[in-house]
Amino acid sequence: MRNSGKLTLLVFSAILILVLISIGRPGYPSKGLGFVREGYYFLEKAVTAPFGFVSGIFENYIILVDTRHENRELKQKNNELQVQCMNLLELRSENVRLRSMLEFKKQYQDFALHSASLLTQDITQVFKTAIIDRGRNEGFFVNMPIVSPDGVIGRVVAVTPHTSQVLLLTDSNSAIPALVQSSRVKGIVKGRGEASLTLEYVRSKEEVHIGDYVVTSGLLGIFPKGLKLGIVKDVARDDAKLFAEITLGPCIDVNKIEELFGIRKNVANPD
Amino acid sequence: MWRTQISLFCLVLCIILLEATIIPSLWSSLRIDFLIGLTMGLVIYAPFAPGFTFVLVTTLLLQALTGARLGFFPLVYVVMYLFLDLVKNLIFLENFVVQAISGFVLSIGIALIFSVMLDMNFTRTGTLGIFISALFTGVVTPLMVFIVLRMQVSNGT
Repeated sequence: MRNSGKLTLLVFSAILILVLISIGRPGYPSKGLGFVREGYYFLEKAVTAPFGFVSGIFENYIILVDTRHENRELKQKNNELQVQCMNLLELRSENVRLRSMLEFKKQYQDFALHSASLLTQDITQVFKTAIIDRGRNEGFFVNMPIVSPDGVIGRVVAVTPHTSQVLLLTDSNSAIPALVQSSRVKGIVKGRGEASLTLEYVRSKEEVHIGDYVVTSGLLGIFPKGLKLGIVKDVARDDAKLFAEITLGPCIDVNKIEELFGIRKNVANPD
Repeated sequence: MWRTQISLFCLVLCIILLEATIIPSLWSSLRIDFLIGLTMGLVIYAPFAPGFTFVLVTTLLLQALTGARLGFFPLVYVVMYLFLDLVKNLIFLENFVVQAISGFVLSIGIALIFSVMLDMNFTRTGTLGIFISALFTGVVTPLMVFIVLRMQVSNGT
């Protein structure tokens, strides 16, 4: 390729990237990005659908053919019972999860909960975002808090008709007004791009102890008051510094998220 | 050329499924960067214009699945493409050991660039995640380069 062509391509791409960097507005993904996220939503559904179809054929047809023979039927029943036993264990753990969700729902009755599932996680190591399978069509909106019964997961930063991008509380761009549950000391919980969080702007002389729960303070109006954010793991005080260095462990483990909710003020129940 | 581009695009779809859904579901801290190997393969075996354009378009699409600021993600990979294009005349990139080491170093380098830009300080756990991810990236890089080579050969380009 001639050098002038190479140069033109480089200049074109540099201009394109510069334009993209300068026009980026948080919460408002371009149509192109929205199209890709929507495309991924349908791709993921399309990839998993054949597996469901094949397993459906297997369970609903082939096994029924086998039941013609009594002996095989008995074996099958035995297998089914074994599977049921396993299912019961799963149901028991599901029951525990659902009970905690019910308690959570009772606790926040004046908020409407919209359930969602995790679609993808961030493809880079540094940024901590996730894409969930609910979007504008299901009532999700920018800055909607995303929570689980164990605590805050993050907030929505961009929506498309069927997907939402969630900024996890562990992302280094995440900052949530918070207070220590026992002493009511206020601060800001910030992500660090990894599993731990920090509680910042808490003066060294304030009462903060290891094991204290840190919850949302309700300031700024994005998160309702009292949602769990993390537990104090370490407090480092230095007389030369105005603020203490407080490290938190988050209440949720991104590895184990199963049920998550978007929450919004319930307009049907304004009380 | 179009057959190669379509084959590469199908490969990118598989990469997205692996990177965004399957691997994070196994271990959330693990991010294997298949794009480094893909980019390296294009640098070595594809002409500049289609290779560069493909990397640019792919990363523009993939930024939809990351929280990075718009344009930042493509910028990193475009710079990496140009860097590899420059050093391919200095080091023997066709050697799979060189590819594996380069994949490892570039994976660490990209994480460092992101963390410096975001002013982040990693603890031991975070560093370990990045290191293990870089090791896996180093392993898959020669494989991705080989796949690109096979595509180029089978499509006669």
